[in-house]
Amino acid sequence: MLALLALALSPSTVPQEAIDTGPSHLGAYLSTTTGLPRPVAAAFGPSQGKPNALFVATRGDAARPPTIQVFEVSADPGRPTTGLGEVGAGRLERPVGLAVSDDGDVFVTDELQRMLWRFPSDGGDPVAAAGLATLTLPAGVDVTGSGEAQLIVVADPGAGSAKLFRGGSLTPTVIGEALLVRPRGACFIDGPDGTVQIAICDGATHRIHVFDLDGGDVVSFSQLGPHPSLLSGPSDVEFADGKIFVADRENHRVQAFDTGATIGELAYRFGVHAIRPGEGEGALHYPAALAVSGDGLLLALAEPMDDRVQLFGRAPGAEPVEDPSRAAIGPPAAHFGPSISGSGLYIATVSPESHQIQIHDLRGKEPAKISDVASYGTRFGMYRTPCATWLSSGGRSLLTVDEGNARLTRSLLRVQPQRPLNADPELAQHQDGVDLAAAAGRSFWPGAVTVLAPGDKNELTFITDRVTDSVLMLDRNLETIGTLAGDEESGPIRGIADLSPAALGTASTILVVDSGGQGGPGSPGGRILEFGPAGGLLRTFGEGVLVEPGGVTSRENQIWVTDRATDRVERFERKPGGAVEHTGGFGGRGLGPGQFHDPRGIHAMDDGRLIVLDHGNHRGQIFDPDHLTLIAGFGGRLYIEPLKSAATWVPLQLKRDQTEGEGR
Amino acid sequence: MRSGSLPWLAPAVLLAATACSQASEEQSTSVKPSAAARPAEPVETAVPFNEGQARRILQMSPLPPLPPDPTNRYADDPRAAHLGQALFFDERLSANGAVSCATCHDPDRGFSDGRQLAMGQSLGNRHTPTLWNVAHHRWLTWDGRADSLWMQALDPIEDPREMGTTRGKLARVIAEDPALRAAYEAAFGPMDEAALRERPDDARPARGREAASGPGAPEPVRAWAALDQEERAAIDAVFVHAGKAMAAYQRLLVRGDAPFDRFVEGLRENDAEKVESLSAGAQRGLALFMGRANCILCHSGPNFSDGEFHNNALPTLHGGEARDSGRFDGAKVVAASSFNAAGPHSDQRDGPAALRVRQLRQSSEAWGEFRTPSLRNLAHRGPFMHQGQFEDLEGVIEFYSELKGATGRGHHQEQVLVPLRLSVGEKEDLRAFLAALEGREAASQLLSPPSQSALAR
Amino acid sequence: MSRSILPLLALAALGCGPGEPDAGSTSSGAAAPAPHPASPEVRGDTLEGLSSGGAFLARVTPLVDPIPMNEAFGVLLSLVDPDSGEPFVDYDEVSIDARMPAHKHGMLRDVGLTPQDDGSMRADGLLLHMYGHWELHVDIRKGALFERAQISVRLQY
Repeated sequence: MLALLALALSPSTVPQEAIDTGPSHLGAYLSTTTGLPRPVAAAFGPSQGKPNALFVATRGDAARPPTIQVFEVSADPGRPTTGLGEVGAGRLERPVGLAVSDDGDVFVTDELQRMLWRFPSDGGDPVAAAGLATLTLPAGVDVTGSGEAQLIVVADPGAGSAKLFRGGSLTPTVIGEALLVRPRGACFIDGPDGTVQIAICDGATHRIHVFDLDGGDVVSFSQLGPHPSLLSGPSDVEFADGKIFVADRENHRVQAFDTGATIGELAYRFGVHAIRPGEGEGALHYPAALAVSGDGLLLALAEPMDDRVQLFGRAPGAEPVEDPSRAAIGPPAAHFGPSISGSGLYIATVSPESHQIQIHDLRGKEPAKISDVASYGTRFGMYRTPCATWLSSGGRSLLTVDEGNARLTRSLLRVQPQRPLNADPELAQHQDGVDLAAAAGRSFWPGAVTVLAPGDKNELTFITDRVTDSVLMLDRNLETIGTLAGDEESGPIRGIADLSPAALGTASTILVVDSGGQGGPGSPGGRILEFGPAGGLLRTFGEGVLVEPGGVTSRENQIWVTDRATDRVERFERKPGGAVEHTGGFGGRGLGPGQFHDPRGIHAMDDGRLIVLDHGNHRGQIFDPDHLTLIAGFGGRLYIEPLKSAATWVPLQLKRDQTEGEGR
Repeated sequence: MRSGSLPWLAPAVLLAATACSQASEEQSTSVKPSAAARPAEPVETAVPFNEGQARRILQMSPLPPLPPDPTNRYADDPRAAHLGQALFFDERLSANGAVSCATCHDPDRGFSDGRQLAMGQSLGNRHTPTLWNVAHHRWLTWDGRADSLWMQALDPIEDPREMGTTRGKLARVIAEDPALRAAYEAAFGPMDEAALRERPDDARPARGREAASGPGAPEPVRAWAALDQEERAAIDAVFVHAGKAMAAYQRLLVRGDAPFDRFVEGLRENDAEKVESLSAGAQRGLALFMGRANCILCHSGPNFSDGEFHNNALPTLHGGEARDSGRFDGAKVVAASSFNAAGPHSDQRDGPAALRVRQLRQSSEAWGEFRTPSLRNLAHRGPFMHQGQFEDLEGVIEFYSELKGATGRGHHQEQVLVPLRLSVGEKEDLRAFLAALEGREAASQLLSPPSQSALAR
Repeated sequence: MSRSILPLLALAALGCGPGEPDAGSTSSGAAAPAPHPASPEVRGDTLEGLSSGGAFLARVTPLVDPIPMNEAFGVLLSLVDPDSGEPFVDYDEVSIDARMPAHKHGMLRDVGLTPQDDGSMRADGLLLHMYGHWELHVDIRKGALFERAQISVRLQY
C-alpha cells in the first residue's frame, strides 16, 4: 500500500535533468566474459580466498555439459578475469537459479531434477537441500545467514509461489500463493527495524512483490510496460545498496528501485538495447540474471542468448536513450516465441513479449503480417505471455495457450483467401476457452497445443503441462477426457516441450517432445514419445541423436525435430511397420541460411514446406526440405539480411492453390 | 500504447477494415446518426460538402450549454463565482505573495502564460493549459488528475512549485479580509470558528514523500498534525468552498460563437451570408480536418476535444525518451484522492461523475498520454503541447505532417502514427480553419479581479 | 453529442449501481445490492448476439437512443436460452466489455453488472469514446470454461 499511496500523492514530476547521477549508481560497463554456453544464473561469493568471486551457472550445449564456472573478476579494467574452476560438474542437468552463502556454499536449483542442491564450500558431496516433496518447478534462489539462522528462498513458478527454508529445515514456509503467478527471481532484502523481507519478481504479472518471513504481503509495485519504472518479463532480482535491482529482461535493461520509506520508487536504470546481432559492450540483449558483489562494486548480467556475462561497475551507465540511427532500422521485429503453426496460406506466430499472436499471409514473396490477435490482460480474449498456437489448415480456426492466464482460447479468423492480401485488425473473434488450472484441478503451466480431427465430432485438443510433464486431452467441447504421460517401462517425461500429430497408416498419433530424456547428468539427451489414438505409448525414438529437442512436426512419413543444444534440425522417417529411423539433419550455429540459434517451433506445411522458428535469431526460415533450399525468411530485419545475401536465397512466388507442387 | 494512442492506420487499412466488416454476416447495427437538423435545400458553400460531411459538421457546433456539475452545489451560484473570481486574482494565496492563479492563467494570454513551462514559485514541468471553455472538460489538467473544476483548484494552492501556500493560510486570508469574508459568508454561510482558532497560519497535510509527522516533517505538516479533527474538518471545509467558488467563476469563462459556428448556423438555416463566415481556405481546412488528416478522431465534438488522453509521441524538451508519465499517474491520483467526485466533499457522491471515477480503468497503456486540448480559442495561447514543444500552430501542423523528432515508444510498440505529408496549401488551409475557431470576445469584467462593489454584493 | 447529455443525466439522477473498479463482472447468484426499480426510461433497440458455442443469446438494450459517442450510457443485459427463450442461468460469472478492434483498444472504463428485479442485469458507465466499429463482448464463465457472445456496434456521424 505504501508504494501506491506514495504514487497517489505525488503526481509524476520527473525533472528534466537525468534521474540520478550520484555516486551510488552501478551501471558503467567494464568487461564481458564470452564463450559461456548459455549462462542462466550468476552470483557473487567467496571462493579460494577471493571474497567476491563470480559464479556462473551454464546450461551447457552439445559439447559442454551444464556446470557452474567460477571466476575472479575485478572492477579494475587492467586486471583480467581469471577462471577459478568449476562446481557441480557432472551433477546438474538443467540449472536455473544460483546463490552463494557467506560461507561459500553454493546453492543451485535444477528444473529438470526439480531440486535444490547445496554444494559445500569444502568441495564435499552435494546435498539435496529441497526436492520433489516441496518444489514443483524451481527457478531463482537466494540465501542469507548461516547455520541455524540461515534462510533460503526459492521461487517456484510451477507452483505459483515461493518456498522459504529456515536453518537447514526441509519443510518450507509457502510464500505468496495467492498473489504470485510465475515468480522467477527471489532475494532477501533489508526490511524496517532490522527485519528481513523477501522480494520476488513475477514474470507473468510483471510486478515486484515484497513479503515478510511469515509470508505476509508487505507491498507490490510496477506493472507491464516499457517506460521508466515499468517492467517486462522481469527474470531476476537482487538486493544491494539499499535497492532492489531487477533484470528487466524484455525491456533490455536493469532498473533499481528504492527500498525503505520510498519502496517501489525508481532510483535509476541503465542499459541500451542491443539491436544488431551480437551487439554488446554494455548494450544489453536479454539480461536474464544478475548478481551484485558483496562490496557493491560490481554488477554481473548473464545473457544466455549471447553466451556471455557482462560486468558493470560504479558510475552511471548509459540510460536507455532514443538513438536516431535505431529509428532507421525500421519497425519492431516480432520477438518470436517458441511456437509456430500454419496452413497453406497462413501461419501463426507467437509474440510473448507483446502478448499477441501474429497471423501472416504467405501469398506474397515473403510472409506478410495481416493481423495481431489480442493484447495483454487477464480477461477472456486477452493473453498473458502466450506460448503456443495452433492454426487450422484453412486458417479459420486458431487456438492459443498463454502461460500467465494458463488458458486455452479458441478463436475464429475471418481470413479471406479469395480476396487480395490486406491487413485486417478485426481478423480474430474469440469464441470460447478453458481455464486449464481449473480444468485440471491444480497448478498448470501450458507449453504447446495441437488438435486431432479438427472440426470433427471426435475432435481432440492436446495441451502440454510443464508442472506434471504430461499432456491434457480435451474433447471438442473443451471438457477434460484424459492425460498422456510416460509409463513405467519407458520412464517419465522430463521437461516436456512441443507436440504434433503424426500419421501412422490411416490413424493419427501424437508426438511429444521430452527435452530432458532418461539419461541423467552423465548422459544427457532428449527423445520423442509417440502415443497412439487410444492414448497408449507406442514407442520412443531419438535417443542418442537428440540433445535438447525443442519442437516437432510431421507430414506423411517425415518427422522433423529442432534441437536447441546443437542448433540443428533432425529428420526421422517412418518405416513400414511403424518404426521411426533417423535419416539425417541440417543446420548448426550461425546467421546464414540454414543456420540457426536455439531453433524451437517447427512446422511442416500442407504443401511440404518446412518452417523453422529460429528463435535465437529472431526470425523464421522457410525451406523446401527435399532440396534443403531456403525459400524465404521473415522476422527481424537485421537478422534477415544475412539470409538474403546468400546465393541459395530463392524467393518463390507461392501459388494460391497449394495442392499442386513439385514432387508433393 | 494501444488505448487512446493515435490510431492513424494507413487509409488503405481503414478501407480494408470497413470492407471486411460489411462483408460479414455478423449481427451489426448502425446507430442512428443524431437527429441534427438538415437544410431542406442545401445552401451553396465555397467547398462542397456531401451529406455525410454535413452531418459531421453539424455535430461540431455550437458549444452546448454548460454541463451541470452536481458535485459542486455552488457551481452556478453567482455569489460563489464572485468570491472565486476574487480569489483567482489574489496573490496572497501564495507563499511569496506574488503569485495568483492569474499569474500562469493570464487572461490577456488566453488564460495561459506564453511560456513553455509554467513558472509559479518555481519552474513547473508542463505548459499552462487555457481556461477557456474549461467547464466542458470531464478531466482537468494534462494528466486528468482532477475530475472536477473545484477539485483541480485545490492542489495548486499547496503545490510548492505553483502557489506553495497552505489551506490553513488560505482560511486565514479569507477570514481576515473583510471583503473576502463577506463574500465567503454570503455564498457559504458563516465560517466555522474551528478554522480560526489560535494556531500557526500555515498548516496542511503531507504531500508526496513528505514525512507526515516527526522531526523530518515540514513545519506546516507538523502544524496540521497538531490540530484536532474538528479544526482540520473546518479548514478543509473552507478549502473546498474556495475551490468550489473558483470553479463557479471558471465556469463562466466561455467563448464560443466563432466564425465556424456562424458557418454552421448558416448550414442549418440555409443562410448564404452566414456560410461566408468561413473562407474557402478555411472550408478546405475543415474538409481536411475531418477527412484525410483525421484530426477529428481525437479533436471531436463541439469543444474539439474528446476529453480523453492520447500519446502523440511528441519530442521532449530535454531530448531523449519521454519521462512524464501523464495519464498513467494522473488516473491513480484522481482515483485515490478524497477530493474526487466520489469522496466526502462531493455534493453528489453517487452520481455519474462518481461512477466515472470509480470505474476508471488503470492501465500502463496510459503512460505518456495527455488530455486532448480543445482547439477553440488558440490565439495567444502558445506555445503548444504539454511541454510547450511547439512555438506556434505552424509548428504543430508541421509535426503532424512530417513527424520529425517523434519519439519511439521503444521498439516493442508499433509506430501507429503516419505522417500526413501535407502540402503547403493544405497546411495553410488547416491554419485558416483553426483561426476560424476563435470565439467572440468575452465579457471584460470576467478578466480581472471583481470590483469591490461586486464583491460586497 | 450534447443532445444525449440531459436525458442521460436524468437517468443518472435516479441513482446508479456501484461500479466495480476491477474485474467488471458479477456472480449471478451472489447476494446483490438493491437493484434499480424498473423505470420508464429511454431505451434503444435491443441488440442480440448468439454465443460462440450456441449456449446462450445475449440481449443488450441501451438505455439511450441512439448510443452516444463519447458519453457514458447504461445498458440492460439479459441472457436467454436460444431455443426455449427462457432466461439462461447456467453460469458462474458474466461480464460485459467493449473493444474497438481497428484501434486495438478497449473502453476506458471497467463496468460492473447489477442484477435487476426482472432477472436482467444493468451496467452503467459504458463509454464508446471514438467513432467507428466497436464490439460488445458478453463473456460467461462456468467452472473452467469461457464462452463469448459478441455484438457489433458501429458509431457513425
